[in-house]
Amino acid sequence: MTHITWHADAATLIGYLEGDLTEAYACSVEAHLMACEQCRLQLADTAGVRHVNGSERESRHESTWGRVLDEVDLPSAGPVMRLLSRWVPEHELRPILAAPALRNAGCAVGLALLAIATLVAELRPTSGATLFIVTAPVVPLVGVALAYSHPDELCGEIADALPYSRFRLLLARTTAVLGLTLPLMALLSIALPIDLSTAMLWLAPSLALCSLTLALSSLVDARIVAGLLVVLWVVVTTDTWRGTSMRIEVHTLLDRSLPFQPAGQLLLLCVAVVATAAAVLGRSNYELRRTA
Amino acid sequence: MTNAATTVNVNAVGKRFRNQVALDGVDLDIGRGVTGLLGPNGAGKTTLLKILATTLAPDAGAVRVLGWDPAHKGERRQIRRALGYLPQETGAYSDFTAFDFVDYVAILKEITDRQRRRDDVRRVLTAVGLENRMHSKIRSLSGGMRRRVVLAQAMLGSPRLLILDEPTAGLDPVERLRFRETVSAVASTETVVLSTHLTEDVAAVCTDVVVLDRGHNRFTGPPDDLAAVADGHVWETEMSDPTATLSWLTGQGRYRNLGTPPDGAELVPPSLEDGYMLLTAPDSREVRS
Repeated sequence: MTHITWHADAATLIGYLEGDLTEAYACSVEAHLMACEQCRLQLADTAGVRHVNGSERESRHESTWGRVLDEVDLPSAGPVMRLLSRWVPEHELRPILAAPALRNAGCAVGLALLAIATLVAELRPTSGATLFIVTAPVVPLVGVALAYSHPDELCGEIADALPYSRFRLLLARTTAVLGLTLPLMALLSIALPIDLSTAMLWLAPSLALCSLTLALSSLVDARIVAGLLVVLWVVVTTDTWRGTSMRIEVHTLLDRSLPFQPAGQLLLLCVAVVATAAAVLGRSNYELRRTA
Repeated sequence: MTNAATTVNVNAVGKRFRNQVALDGVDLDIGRGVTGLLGPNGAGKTTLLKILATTLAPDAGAVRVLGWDPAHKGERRQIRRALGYLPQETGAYSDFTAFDFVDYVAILKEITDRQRRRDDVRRVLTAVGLENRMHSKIRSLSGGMRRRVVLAQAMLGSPRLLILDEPTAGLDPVERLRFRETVSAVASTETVVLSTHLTEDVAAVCTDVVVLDRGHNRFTGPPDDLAAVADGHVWETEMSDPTATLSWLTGQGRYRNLGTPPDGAELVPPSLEDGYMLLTAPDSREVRS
């Protein structure tokens, strides 16, 4: 038989009734009350004096239980979600970060950047910079294509009948991929042994390729669009490498390749703006499925 | 003609997939209660439900759902806010728990208030009998339980129209009973449209039935009227009757025949299934009740 060595004082019982005790202390008091008749009687007196009626107690009980349920039901959140949720509402973050495709895209982008950085380090400083400028536009494109792969992967056909805009989801994922990729690539550009304005020449083609993928993915699977654009980019920049065995100086790149000349850069920026505008204006095309 | 009690109005709707006709001039009015779409595979049930759920646009005709036109972008969104949809095929759901998945769908259903959303998620998971498994990974649940998780998401936000495509497929008898109980509770105040090829489902829960066959609407009316379609067309014999359109051996050891009975045939009261079979026979015509 358990020997009771203590009794709850009036303040503790009032705190227990009011729900003011910490969870651990309240559990301890409750366990004690189960075993101690004297304290149960004291609790009944205290409750009577304080005119606590049944509905109020029930309400407090439900409130405590509700708080426990909320903790239990909290969706599992990774470190990125926990960090970002300080500034962005949960209902904006979860549709983006819950997607496995986005995690795959992040991994692919990280690996691609690592591979490019390794190649750049292996080449002579300025020819390494050239390699970076030419190949970098493909990196965010790969990330965006992977992030689009199944825009409704998490709930299949259910997503088609939900009011949350599919275009909004795609745009959010694009922004997430670009928000991850572009700063990393900008940091790598700063580390290149050339002036920053030249080192950032990859930016305009990157934006143009990603915007085109966004715009055309309403018509064709984004992975196909991205694949075709990568081929197109390789064709356009092939002239740059002809007869150079990949060791080409930056000034040669600027002379030979139209996309990196001022007119080409301006044209690519215009493509990015027009493609983004077309995607926004045609956003309803991302919703209805025309085939069963 | 549309009236105040009509939730769904389908007017001469057609849909083709390449050279295959899925729906051919279907007319339909659906009101409060449970309406069952009955028909063989390829009858057009899923296509019609997709059109009502706004995931597919018809090639011809007009549709109004809850008074809104799904062809109009703004109105389509209004429909989606008031709609619960259980598709025939559902996704893989990754590593979600049942709770996380339904909560995710609730976000896409624009239930942004966290407390309200979680209360609703608990409500719908409890309604489908998953209160003790709501924190289990979906991949660890049985097929029937997964189907109930997907049914739960359809009930989020207390939709005014619940569209369920083959909701009892893969459910065991106990789960099927629970499903009927759940649907009946919803249908007491709202509209439920479900597709099935099980006449038992229709007999158990439906207030109205629509028989679709090869893209055409063959029958619209209460289940009792569907059975009455076969009045005078069902008879039993000791041996299979070669003149019958359909003839099969029953559990009682006698042959049940469907079609035009010969003189002196022993006519028996028709069942819902008899009416359905007669309507979907090759030479059947549309019947309205």
